[in-house]
Amino acid sequence: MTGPTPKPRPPKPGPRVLAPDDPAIVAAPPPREDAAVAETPTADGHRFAKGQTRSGLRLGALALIAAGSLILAGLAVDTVWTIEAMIARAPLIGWPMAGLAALLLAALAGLAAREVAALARLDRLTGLQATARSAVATPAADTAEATLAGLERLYAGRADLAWALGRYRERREDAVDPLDRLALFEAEVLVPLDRRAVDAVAKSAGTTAVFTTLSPFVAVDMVVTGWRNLRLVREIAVLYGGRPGLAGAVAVIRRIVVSIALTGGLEASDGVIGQTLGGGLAGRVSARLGQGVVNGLLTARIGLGAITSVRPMPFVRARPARLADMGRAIAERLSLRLSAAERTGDR
Amino acid sequence: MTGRPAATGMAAADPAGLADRLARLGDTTRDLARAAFEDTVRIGVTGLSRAGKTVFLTSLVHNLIHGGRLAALSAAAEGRLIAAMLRPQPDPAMPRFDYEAHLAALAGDPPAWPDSTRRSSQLRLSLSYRPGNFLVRQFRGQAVLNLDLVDYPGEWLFDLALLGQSYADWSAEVLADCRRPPRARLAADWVALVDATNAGAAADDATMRQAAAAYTAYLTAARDAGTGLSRLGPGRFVSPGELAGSPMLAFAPLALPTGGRARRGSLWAAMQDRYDLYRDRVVRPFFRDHFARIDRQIVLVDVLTALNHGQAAVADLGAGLNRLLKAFRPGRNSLLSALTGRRVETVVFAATKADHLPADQHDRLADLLRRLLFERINQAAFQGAAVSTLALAALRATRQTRARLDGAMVECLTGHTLADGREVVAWPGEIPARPQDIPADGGTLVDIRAFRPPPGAPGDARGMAHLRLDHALDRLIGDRLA
Ligand SMILES: Nc1nc2c(ncn2[C@@H]2O[C@H](COP(=O)(O)OP(=O)(O)OP(=O)(O)O)[C@@H](O)[C@H]2O)c(=O)[nH]1
Ligand SMILES: [Mg+2]
Repeated sequence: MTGPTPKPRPPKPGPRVLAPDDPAIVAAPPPREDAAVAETPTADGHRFAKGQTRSGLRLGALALIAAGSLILAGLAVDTVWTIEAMIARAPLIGWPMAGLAALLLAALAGLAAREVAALARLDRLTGLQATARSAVATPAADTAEATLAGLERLYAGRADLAWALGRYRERREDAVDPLDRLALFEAEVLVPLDRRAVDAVAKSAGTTAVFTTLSPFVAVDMVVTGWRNLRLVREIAVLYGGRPGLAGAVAVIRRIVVSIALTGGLEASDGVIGQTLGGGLAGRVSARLGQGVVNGLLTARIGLGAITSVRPMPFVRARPARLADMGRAIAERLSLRLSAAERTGDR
Repeated sequence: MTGRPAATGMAAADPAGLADRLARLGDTTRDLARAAFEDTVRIGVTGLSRAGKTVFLTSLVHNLIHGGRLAALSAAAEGRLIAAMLRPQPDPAMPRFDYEAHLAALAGDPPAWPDSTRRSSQLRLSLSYRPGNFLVRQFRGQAVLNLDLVDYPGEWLFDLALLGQSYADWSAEVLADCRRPPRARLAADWVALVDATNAGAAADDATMRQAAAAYTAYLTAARDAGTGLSRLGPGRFVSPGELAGSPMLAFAPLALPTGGRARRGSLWAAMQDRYDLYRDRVVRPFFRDHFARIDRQIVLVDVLTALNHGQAAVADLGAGLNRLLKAFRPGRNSLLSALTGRRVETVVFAATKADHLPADQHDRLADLLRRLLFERINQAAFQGAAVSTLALAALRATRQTRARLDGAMVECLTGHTLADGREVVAWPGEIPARPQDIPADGGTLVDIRAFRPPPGAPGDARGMAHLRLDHALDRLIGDRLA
């Protein structure tokens, strides 16, 4: 017979039938509000990702930081001295100046606090992502429930998602398997968000492409494109519940750029460029047009990267948008604008 | 492989097999022509008596028509499933599956399960969908897939086991079973009669009919005694359909000397002729019309009821299914399939009525089924068919509730009892993980409650509540809706 070595699971009780009001029956468990989710920002996956980006800070960065701090310190010391001197010589000018300086300090502190808060919110999203990723990879009832409770809380106050959340709650009992539950949340709540995000990316990519093609100054369109990309990333993060500040958006972009670099840069999109320019446009390829498409695709890539990086759950059953889909959107916008430009140019 | 592989299997042994093959060839050509406009999938819903075929078909149709609970069917989840409609079936000579009547029974007050099926019937459900593939969409923006479905009394299915058996083999097997418990008690009268009969005596009609009547009495008693035994055939003896009273059913197993041969004019020879007639005129056409041409198969197995009856019932179920499933030829189709006969490309093995068990035990249930049918599952996978196993409930009659029993927190089921419609919370116990752990009398461990259909089941505009029916559908036809 089996020895006592592996402690056996306590045997489950024998079959039994209870009346619906039997005290043994426990009320349906409310969506768990325990610590599992609150703690997740420190989940391993996240720390690892953070470490990866931070490791880039080497000697050069140290030098830059030191130089910047020196200049700032110099400025600060200078300001303090100037104000002190002013107070001594002409208090009527000196005191208001001191007040202004204090105001400046307070505003700076406020800005910093807001950035920190925004980063924390982004952190929460990233933490939720880590839980969700493990729940999807190895579906177990408890991690799935923790993920879903976290997601519901993340979107609880969103008026634009109230209806979708309602539908999800109405249907959640349909699914009994953890993965099915996650997929249900995805289908009801995240897929509509995905659609909005992809729309934003397509629009932004198209605009970038058109702008680059038509703008006469390379330097200008580089700056504008950069700014536009930043805004796109922010918009997407806000959409998924991240509300990042400037630093957050930059962090997200950095993560995306790293991942693009890791997956082989823009080469992969060469095929897409040909596809994008196929048909009637091919004959009119000019250097500017090529540049426009490349910039548009870069924006699309950054946008899609932003989606993957801030979406609180990996794609379970929904299909993530691909660069090729974006290529089509860009081509449509380009041909629309170019033929319009052509027509006006002809006349 | 050689030019003519063991493709037609047991059918190759006799001339009837050739006719089968020609019929199949004709079908293939017709299908090719039709495929240009519409695609058709023949789904073989395979299940013994009370396995849940009728409920499965009803729920399948209802859910595809309403479409609100098919999250795991990729075409539906991607919003590509446009509409589903019942359309005229391909064979107008056959009765139509009475979907509306079954629905009415489920929606009745009190709600009732559909009656046990008495004859075979057919149904065609047409799905209109948007192809997911970009290239295909350029040719056909909207495509149609016909599902051809058949319902029949589960008893008849068991006859497929006869296709590979001679009269002598069959007799020996049945008799050996009937001399052992748990059948010995039920079959005592008939076995006594067999022992008193001389197989070599001259054949006479009265003796044959008497033997058949005694054998039928045993089969009916075994079915109604609630023993959970599944190997009770031939199927037409218990559920004769249009064959009631036919002389084709006037035969029964005999105690035969091993290695002997039937003498002309003997009882043995006469019985053997009837058996062959039954096999060739009843079983083979049934197989040919409903199963020889299926593309996809779902095998519904009521593991839970067998579990409830204990070890012997489970073993009986496993043995019976393993034998009869040999009639099917799973595997991948190639261009040659038009000549050699089509193979069943996808087989889904499903443990039905999973709503009698809380979800945290469904993996165990599926695992038990996998072990029970290991031989067939393994063989199908080896031949290249896409094989999968799952636990499902075509119509979910329970909700899950938690209770603390003897200090342990367990997932229970809330539902209405079949007997009086009272609402109860049932803890069905924990099903054993391995077949050898199943207790002899089942009941001490598992008490699978029979529940009524949930009130207002078909009233829901989203489709009937179910468990994993959408998964089963995705595995069955998901690729054809791609
Ligand atoms: N709770 C529950 N019970 C089911 C389900 N499916 C079938 N049953 C029960 O099983 C019984 C038999 O189901 P049917 O669909 O009639 O079985 P069948 O395979 O058509 O049986 P035959 O027609 O006799 O061959 C039903 O009367 C129900 O009591 C299910 O999904 N859930
Ligand atoms: Mg039936």
